[in-house]
Amino acid sequence: MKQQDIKTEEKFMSHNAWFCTSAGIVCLLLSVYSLTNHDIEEMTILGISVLFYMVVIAIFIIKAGFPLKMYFKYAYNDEFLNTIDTNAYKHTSCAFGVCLLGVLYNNDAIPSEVSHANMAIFYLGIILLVYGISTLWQSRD
Amino acid sequence: MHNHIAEFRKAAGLSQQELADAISVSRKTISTIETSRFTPSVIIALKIAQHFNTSVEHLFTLDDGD
Repeated sequence: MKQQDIKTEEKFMSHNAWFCTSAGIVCLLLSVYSLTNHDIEEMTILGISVLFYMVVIAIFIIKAGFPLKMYFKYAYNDEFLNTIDTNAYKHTSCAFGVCLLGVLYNNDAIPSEVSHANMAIFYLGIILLVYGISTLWQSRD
Repeated sequence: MHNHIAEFRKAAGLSQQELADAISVSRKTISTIETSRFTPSVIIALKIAQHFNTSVEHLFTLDDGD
């Protein structure tokens, strides 16, 4: 295995962890914020903020040489990166399971205005946030 | 499990990155092995031992709890 491949994997893992964490926070904020009543101006500001975030990420992907092809690889070649990736998936599955159980248990407490889209963004936010934080925490020096 | 990789590495005047490059692993692998947060496979343990021209038993020692 080439050392360059491992450095690419290391770089991808680091960037992906920060990307997942930030995207998770954005999704959670979006799902919670959209539940409360806001006028059209506030929702426009929210939309522009999310668009700004997406543009910043797109610029980063293009300029910083984010190795997108790594998303299509099943596993990391490096043993340690593969281990923490597997652990992060376990943490993510666990968090998602807890969320589902929480929703199941508090079914009646969830207001009817909460749409499926809101719930989907909330679940996505939880998944991304837990994966990102787990990866960052496990790969600390 | 304790290990003496950091001592061997420092004695050889190597950085974590240089050792990682020498045995084809990521720097974080070396970092987390040294802090005993990651237990490497036999292959990596043998590669490290081979690099320092020593045995795996000299690099890794079992704790009472192991």
